[in-house]
Amino acid sequence: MRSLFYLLIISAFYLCCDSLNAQQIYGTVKDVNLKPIPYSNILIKENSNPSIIVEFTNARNGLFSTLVKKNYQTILIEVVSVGYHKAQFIIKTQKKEKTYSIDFVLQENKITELKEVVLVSKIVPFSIKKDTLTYHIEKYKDPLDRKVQDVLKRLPGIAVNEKSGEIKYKGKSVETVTLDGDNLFGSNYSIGTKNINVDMLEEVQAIENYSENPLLKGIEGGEKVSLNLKLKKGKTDYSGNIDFGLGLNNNDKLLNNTNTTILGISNKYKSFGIISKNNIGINHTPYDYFSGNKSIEQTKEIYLTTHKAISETLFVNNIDDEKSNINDMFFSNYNNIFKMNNRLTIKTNMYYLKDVLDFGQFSTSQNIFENLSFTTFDNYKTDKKPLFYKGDIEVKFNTSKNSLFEFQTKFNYEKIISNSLILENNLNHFEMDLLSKNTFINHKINFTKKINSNQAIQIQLTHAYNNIPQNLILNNHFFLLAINQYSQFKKRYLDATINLLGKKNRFKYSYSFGGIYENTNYLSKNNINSDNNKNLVNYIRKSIFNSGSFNLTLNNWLISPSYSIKYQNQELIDNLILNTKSSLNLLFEPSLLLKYRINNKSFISTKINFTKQPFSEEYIFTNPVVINSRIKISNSPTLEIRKSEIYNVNYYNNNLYKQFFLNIGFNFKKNNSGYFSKFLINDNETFLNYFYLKKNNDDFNLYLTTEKLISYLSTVFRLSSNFTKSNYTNKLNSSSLRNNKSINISNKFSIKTAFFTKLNFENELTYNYSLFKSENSIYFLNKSITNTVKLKYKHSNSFFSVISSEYFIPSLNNKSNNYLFLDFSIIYRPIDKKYEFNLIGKNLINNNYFSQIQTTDFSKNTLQNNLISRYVFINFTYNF
Amino acid sequence: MKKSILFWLLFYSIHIFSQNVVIEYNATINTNETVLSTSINYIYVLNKNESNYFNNLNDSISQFKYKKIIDEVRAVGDIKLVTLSDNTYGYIRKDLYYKNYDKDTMIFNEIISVNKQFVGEKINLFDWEINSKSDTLVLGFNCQKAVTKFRGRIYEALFSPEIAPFGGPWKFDGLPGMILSVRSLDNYFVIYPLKITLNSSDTKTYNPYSGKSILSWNQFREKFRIHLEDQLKKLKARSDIGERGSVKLSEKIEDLEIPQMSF
Repeated sequence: MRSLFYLLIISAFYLCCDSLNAQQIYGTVKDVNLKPIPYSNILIKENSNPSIIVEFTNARNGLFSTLVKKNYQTILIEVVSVGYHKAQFIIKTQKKEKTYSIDFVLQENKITELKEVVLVSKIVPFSIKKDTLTYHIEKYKDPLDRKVQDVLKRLPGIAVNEKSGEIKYKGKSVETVTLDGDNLFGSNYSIGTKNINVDMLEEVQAIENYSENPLLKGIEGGEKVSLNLKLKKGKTDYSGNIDFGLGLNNNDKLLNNTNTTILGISNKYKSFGIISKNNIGINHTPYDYFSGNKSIEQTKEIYLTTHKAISETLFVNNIDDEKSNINDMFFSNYNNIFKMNNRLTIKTNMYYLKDVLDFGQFSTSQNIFENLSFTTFDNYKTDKKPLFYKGDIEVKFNTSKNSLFEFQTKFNYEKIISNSLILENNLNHFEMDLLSKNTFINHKINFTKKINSNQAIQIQLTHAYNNIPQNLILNNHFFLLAINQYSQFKKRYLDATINLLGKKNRFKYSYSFGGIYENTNYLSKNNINSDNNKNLVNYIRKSIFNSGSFNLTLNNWLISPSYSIKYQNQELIDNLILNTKSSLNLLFEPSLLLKYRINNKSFISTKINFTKQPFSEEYIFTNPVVINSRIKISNSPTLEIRKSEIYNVNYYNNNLYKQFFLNIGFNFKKNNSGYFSKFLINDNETFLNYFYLKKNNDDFNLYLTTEKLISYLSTVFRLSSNFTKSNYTNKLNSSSLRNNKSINISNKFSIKTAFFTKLNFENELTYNYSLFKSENSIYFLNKSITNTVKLKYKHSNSFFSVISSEYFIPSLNNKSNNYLFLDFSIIYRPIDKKYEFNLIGKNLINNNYFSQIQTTDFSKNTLQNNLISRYVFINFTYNF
Repeated sequence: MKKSILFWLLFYSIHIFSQNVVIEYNATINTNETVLSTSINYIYVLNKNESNYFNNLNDSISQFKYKKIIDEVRAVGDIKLVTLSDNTYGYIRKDLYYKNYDKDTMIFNEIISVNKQFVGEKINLFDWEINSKSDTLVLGFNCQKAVTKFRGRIYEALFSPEIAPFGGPWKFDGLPGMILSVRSLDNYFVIYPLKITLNSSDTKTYNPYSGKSILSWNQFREKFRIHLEDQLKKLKARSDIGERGSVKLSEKIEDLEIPQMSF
């Protein structure tokens, strides 16, 4: 009776609701004895897709009522209840303003004895909170990982450049890597990632929309990204580790590796320090004196620094540095943040580096052009001794709750002494001594005032000074030849900028106004008896500018146009011939970024940039400068502006739930002019002249990286491909302009197993293709293959061993020239103990050298480098 | 004119739900005070029209993410008080949620100060909006997404009509299927399944609150407010003239709508 009463009330209500557009459905759910069923669900589905519930309601005590909110072609109404068969009813053509009354009678299930079914899930190794993706490191860690960088390399969505230490997240270079939220390392974050023990780490947080300045949080656009290392909470204020290792190589030379790190954390103080010494090719520093890769900080500050006209001897090979870097490095670094009080923070970073590098390099160049064919040989034996120290101080003072004053000063000094013995063409002996010094001073003042919660104003002043004197002495005792070449680039940089940043709802903007002053001097002289053995040049660039960038977020779209208008004056003064050239330009540079967020895992973006820029100051001198026993360089400087168009399309998908990663896209850059090279080459000498030409040149780059865990194979597959095509021009001896084309293809395919067995393996196959072709000339083609296999065996939870092999074929045309490297490592790491032992064997086959083929549009070069000979090493690590 | 259709017998499907289901969940609370964050495993048992959701206290200390800095654990009242080395306090308690779908009743225990309180509410407290896509597989079951706003947080749930026509962990319920995972969009409260056992032979459910005095939600809120007011009074009693103090409830999954109280 009571049910009937409710039904009448519901019916009356719906009958009164004539004005409603939605369909009204009500009714009863009873069993075959017409007793109301206490709890059941009424599901509304589209008949075309009966697996999806589009709307629903509950039926309580056998009664239900609902309004169908949307319009559907044919709806399927289904009633489900535990212990009963479900029943369905179809309304074919749904008409507006109609009321349907449906009475369901459900048949009881006969209890069927079903087997117990158990489904178990794995704990999710990451979590997402607003702009932050947190990786729980325990779930990603491999027993062989020692430093933070080792595990970062394996986090999906994060890419680490092993040479420079640069880290990218979602394809963007991270601003910094903070330690429990504090920016201790600045741009030299690789100090932390290369040296902090992975055992100290609890989580890695990848943060989008990062702002280092807390007053600009939420106001600043630009979509900056950063990483935060969350350390395990411990009771001690100081923690760290000591690595101590000794070994012997094939020549009975004693090898050592000592590395001590200390991390201090308290409420008011945070510090990280490192002292290390090794002669087994390990580089704990952000600086690379072996291969010459710029550190991330050096790359960011490139606009403040100037150039070395005489380049140092560098290692240029594909093999990894730890096989070939014959070093004796001492490195010390200490980073501190003092939180003096709620308003004042002082940060200091100090570095000291001393190394002795031993290079042995033999190169053969087969030159073919203009019906000429000759081969040159150069045998270099170089000792390179870099000395580097650096000190940074940063002061942050909150002058009020809404204003922040920042002052930063940096000082670097570098001295490199290189002594080389050169045998040229198996005939000419040279001794070459190069002394390079580099002093860099930089001051930055930044004042930020938050006007209100949506707007802030910033005043920034930057000053930089860079002085690079170099002295080269080249002796040939046989011909009694002694060349003394001095070269010095000196640059002063000053800028003042006012920024206005703000946001309004989903719109963010920033405007900048300012001026830049750059003054570069170049001085060179040598003792070669000629009229043009000196350079004394002064290049001044002055500009005032206005720029703006805007970020508009509309649903899933990000629209971000920006522009820069610059009024620029350039002056080039040759003080030897008292000649002054000047030019005045108005430069407008627009750009547009469009990004469509498909879902929280993937996006597609496109970027278009139009730039107008003067040429680098490295081309300002006219008269030849000797840079080694073979090459002299000179320039034909210009004040012309280079116009470039840059296009990028990128698709990014990082589905951590399905363990799938895909990044695919292309870059295209077209320049309307450039500095091209004119070579005058003979057996003994190369004169290289850089000259300006208004001629298009372009680069096209297509890239793809994809990674997928195939669960049933317990294996991660990764493919990384890169295709680059360049069109450029040069001149050789008496030739007219040569139009050249280069194509480089690199494919890397790797598999990594994750079996629940004692044995796992990794394999990486790399194929490189390099083609240089000049119009009406022969082409130079080289194809090479590298395959790396790593077998990892877990004897017990505390005992592991790894055997790795690398197989190189530097040229597929000459497969007999191949190299096999074998290494091993045995690790004993007792559980819940603070120490571990590691027995390492490297280069077991004892390859003394490695040679590699490189091609240009007129030559094929074979570079042969000395390697670290076979060694066995035992390392002890203590964590405290 | 309204049309009334009476159908006595429609067509039946042969789909049969499990009569009983046991699901092991992990519930993580990422507290604002990071060191108090917990990760606890719960068992959910659905037996016909009754369910229990409870933790077994085996992970009493290990539930704290920062268990290494726990200084002391001691029993106080109905809970265990945990002192962490950075002067924060957490507690360990036994949770038990009982639901009776026939009676549309849910009863659970809450803590005020260190004492247990028993609170009763209706089962379906949520106004869910379901997403008409079934693109997620959880432990092999097709799931649909649903979103709701509940007591200060927005939750996103994945439910599967393939397991049972109702049910879910904690208070979550009222969807046309078993709720398998729930996440508040601010990530404060996250529940996901570890193990599902269909047709389990070990599925006894019971009402542990039979005969107990049960508070309504509003009564519980009022009692909590009075407790906080008492705390504020105690604070004020200890303070000197000119000193200020306030009491604010900051680590609750649900917003009790008790504003910050200060003097």
